Amino acid sequence: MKKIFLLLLLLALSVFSEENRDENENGIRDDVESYLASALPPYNSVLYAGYDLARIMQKIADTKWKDNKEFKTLAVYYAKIYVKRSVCLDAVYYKKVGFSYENGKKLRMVKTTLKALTFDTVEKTKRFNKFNGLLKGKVFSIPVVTDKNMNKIIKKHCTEEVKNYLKYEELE
Amino acid sequence: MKNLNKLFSLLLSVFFITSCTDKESTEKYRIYYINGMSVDFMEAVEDRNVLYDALVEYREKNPEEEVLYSLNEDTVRLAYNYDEEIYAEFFEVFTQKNLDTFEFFVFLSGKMPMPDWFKDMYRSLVVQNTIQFLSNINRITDEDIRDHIDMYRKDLSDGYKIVLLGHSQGNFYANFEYDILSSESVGVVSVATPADRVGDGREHYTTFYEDAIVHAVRFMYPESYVYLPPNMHAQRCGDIDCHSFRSSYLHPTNESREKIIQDIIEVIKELKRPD
Repeated sequence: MKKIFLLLLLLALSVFSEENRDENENGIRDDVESYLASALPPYNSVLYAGYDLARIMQKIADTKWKDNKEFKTLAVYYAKIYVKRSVCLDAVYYKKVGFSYENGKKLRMVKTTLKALTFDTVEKTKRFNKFNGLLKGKVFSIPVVTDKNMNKIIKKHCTEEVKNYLKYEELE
Repeated sequence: MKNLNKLFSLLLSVFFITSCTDKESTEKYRIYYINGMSVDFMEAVEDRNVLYDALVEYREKNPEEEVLYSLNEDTVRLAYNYDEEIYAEFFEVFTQKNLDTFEFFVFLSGKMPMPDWFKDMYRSLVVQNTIQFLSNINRITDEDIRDHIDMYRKDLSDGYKIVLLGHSQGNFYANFEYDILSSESVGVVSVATPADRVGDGREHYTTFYEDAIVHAVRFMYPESYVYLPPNMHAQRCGDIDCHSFRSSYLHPTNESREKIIQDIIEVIKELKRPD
């Protein structure tokens, strides 16, 4: 498992020189896009759910957080979107590959690597620290994906793009 | 006769389903997971998800445990805390090594083995910070807990029993918040606790003999301090310090996973329903 991770790490770093480039202007950096395409199962629905998660993380990284009420409100708003995108990815991913401890571990590894790729400079890591600090003291209700509520979660928390890809894949 | 049997089975299943639904509605409770030191929001969300998975898994293995019938997706919430300064200090030392920030995140997540200097720095900061909590409870400010307390009070007025589950430094918050609420409908479950007590006095806690962080705190703090002794061995340590909530205490091969869930169930049973 560690070897696979190192391989993915090298792959991610190999495109690292292209940092901050977004050739197709879809709001996701090219290096992040390549990483997700290599790390997630080969379904557009899963990939686009991953892209949605990457977009909100990028917004967190790009925001110059300050310690005031407005930014606190914004941080909570972004955190809630993060939760929605994260839970959507969970639902679509488990729908495709099934529930298991190992699959859960793989998905968490993808999220960690995505985080490491997104907050890839000293400045962005400091912003990430500030973002977390602004969430201090807040309470979050977080949906949980189970085999029974997957479709409900997808309907409520995924973007239309992800839902459409799922529909196409089911027709195929 | 065959049809009569079928009808009887159908009636029996309807009765069973109805009685289960009744059980679901009899026990109202919320579990608040209070994370440890400088766990970022994204990791805290994953920790809370794994806690929920462990509860569901326990319910499947123990269908006789009626308390868990009413478990639903909003039962386990995250009461978040974060120490920005300690994270900044940690990151500052890291940047002096001229390493890529990518490594900072993967070392911290335990996905790649930490180098010794990183391990030492991490331990030392966690221990120092915990000691500051032990010696100065005023470190927790009103702002840190105001929203938590408001949410707990709302739940109590809506008839929910409340379990505060603290991990590591989160136990200082759990105990402090318990003292403020001072209610027979609120209980505390502690995991990997460096604190001197479990807030509600029920002593439902789990700390590994192998937990390097808790050991280091004990070693460095004056002998006069009374600690909760470790009470369990880890079959497997999922992180270098055997301290992580998700990778060690809730690891599927560790008996602690089941014990933590049993502690939660026992506390729920012992709590009084709010008036």
